[in-house]
Amino acid sequence: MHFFQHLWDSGGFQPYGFCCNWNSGLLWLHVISDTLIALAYFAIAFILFTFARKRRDIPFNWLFLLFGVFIVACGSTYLMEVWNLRHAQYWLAGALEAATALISVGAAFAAARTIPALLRIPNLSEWTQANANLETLVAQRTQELATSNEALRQNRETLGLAQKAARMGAWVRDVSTGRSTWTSELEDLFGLEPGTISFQDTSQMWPNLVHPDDLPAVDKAVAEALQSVSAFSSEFRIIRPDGKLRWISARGNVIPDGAGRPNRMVGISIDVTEQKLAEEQFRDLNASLEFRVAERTRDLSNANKELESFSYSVSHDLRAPLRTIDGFSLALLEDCADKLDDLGKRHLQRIRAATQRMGQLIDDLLNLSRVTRAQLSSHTFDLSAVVSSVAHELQASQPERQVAWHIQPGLCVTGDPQLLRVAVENLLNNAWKYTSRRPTASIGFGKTDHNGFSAYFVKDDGAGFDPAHADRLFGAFQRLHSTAEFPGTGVGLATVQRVIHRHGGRIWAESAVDHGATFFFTIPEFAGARK
Amino acid sequence: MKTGQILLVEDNPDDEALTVRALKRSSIPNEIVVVRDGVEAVDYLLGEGAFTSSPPPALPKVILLDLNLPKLDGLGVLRRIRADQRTRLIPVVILSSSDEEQDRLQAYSLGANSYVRKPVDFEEFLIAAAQLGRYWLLLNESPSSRNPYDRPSL
Repeated sequence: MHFFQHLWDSGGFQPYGFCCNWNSGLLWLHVISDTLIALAYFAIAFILFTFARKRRDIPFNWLFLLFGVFIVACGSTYLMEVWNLRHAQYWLAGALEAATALISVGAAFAAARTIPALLRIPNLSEWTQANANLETLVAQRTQELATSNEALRQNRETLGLAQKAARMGAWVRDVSTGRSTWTSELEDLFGLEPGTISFQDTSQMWPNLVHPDDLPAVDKAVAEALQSVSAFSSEFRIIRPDGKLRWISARGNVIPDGAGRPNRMVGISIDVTEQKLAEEQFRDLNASLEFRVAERTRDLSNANKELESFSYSVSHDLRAPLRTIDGFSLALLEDCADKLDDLGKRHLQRIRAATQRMGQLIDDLLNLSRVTRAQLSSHTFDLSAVVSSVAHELQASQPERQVAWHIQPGLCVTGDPQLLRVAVENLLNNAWKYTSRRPTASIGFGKTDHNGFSAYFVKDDGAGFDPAHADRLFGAFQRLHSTAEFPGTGVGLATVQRVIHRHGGRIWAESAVDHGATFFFTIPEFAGARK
Repeated sequence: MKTGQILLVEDNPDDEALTVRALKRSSIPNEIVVVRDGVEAVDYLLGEGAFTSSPPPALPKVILLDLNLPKLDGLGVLRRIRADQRTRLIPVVILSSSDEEQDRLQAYSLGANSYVRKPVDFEEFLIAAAQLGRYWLLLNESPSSRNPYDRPSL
């Protein structure tokens, strides 16, 4: 308290004016100069403050503030001197100067410590250089941007072409706003002007675009995809503004936001009208095919039934009159032998021979029809063994004949053993018959490779046939030899062919007159499964 | 009736004549009774219809039965014969033109004792008839020699 009282005390000192003998000219010189200096100092400080406040971005901004304070302090000491021209408060002046000294020293220190950092601030040429570099970089980036823009444009163009070619378009829909954007290709598919659907709420248009019958299903598919945040797929018809009906297949995915809620739907739509039409045609075709197959099956089954009853009546009724003819011819020969001359007897013999031949024909025909009607069974068995057994029977029927049998053993097939035995019997009977005019004969059975698939064969060295007539070989009642030459009804090979065909196989023959004949046949592996 | 009858069930007079001829030619002395349709055959055997008033017939030693018969066919006759106590054991030989498997199977299932297909060739038929006669009339022993109609009086 004492100190502060003292501070305002002139303490008996003489003011500066006294030192100047109160010379008014000198006093005014001091007053004006000191005042101007102080004002100038304050003005500079004010400018510095203002600058520092407005340019807060400048590094070491606080340094301006510090210099401002320092200058204000300096300015105040000059004002103090003007004051003390009259008042001689030298303690106060001293305190003011001491404070100024402290601030000055502080400022000097701060300046000194900040200098290295200040020196690091780039100079103007460096700025210019950096600027130039930056500009080059910007130009370069601009160029790159242009290039990638061009690439992007080309990509878009390619994508557009691809979409057009695939009759396909892409779409994206914001779930919260319901706004959609379609590619122009998609708009084209729907018959809309390009740009119609661009950040557009389609909830009003959509029901007019989709076929009313299909709308509920599409909406349901979308709702389900949104519900489960999963993939979406739907096929539906659209009605274009021109009235044309098209099929669209749409597929997409729901893209969730960070919280797993549906955010956007993105997908593609394809015009599948052509496929749909083809599918429809295919279905129609299939249906009509199935209908026709059913019809044919019914016809076939009817034909089979008719054939069965026909064979049955043939079996019963056709043979009875033959027996009568034959029986009474014989009765005539026996009972009226004395009334018949040799010619009459020969006629009767001819009648009997023809009757018996007709009986044989009927039997053969019945066998042929039986082969057609019989239910096909499926077993794997040794065909070679069947051939050997038939060969033994033939040999036993005419033990005097010299026939060399060459039977390849162990050839197994899958098929109907009974029917295939019938086929083998007929083929071997033929070989046996057509070699009967030779003193010695050779008959073979085996398996051979024929154009890459295996075929069984029955080969003989008998009379053979003219290959020009080979096409008649397998027809019923077709014979390439007269009955006088070789007896037969011409049903045997027709029967064989039917057996082989029923097994899904093929039969053909190779021969030359007097050089024997070889009959080839195939039995597919899967014949058993075909039943 | 010491040698026993042969009952021939045959509707075709030609076949009847030939069968009878063949049996006679084979020196089979037994009496041959001919009936011409299925109903007549059943009536004859069971003493029904036209045969009601006649005395009970001597049961045949063998029945030669055709399959294709008017009114009641051969299989129907067989069914009736086998269903009746008096006739169920009489040997029945099916004589048919048919060799259809279904006919043979049905005939045997219904209790036929034999199935013979009538050959077209009459000479073969003669052989068959002779063999049939010899077998069924001479060689084969019937299950019962007693006439089931000769019941002991009460």
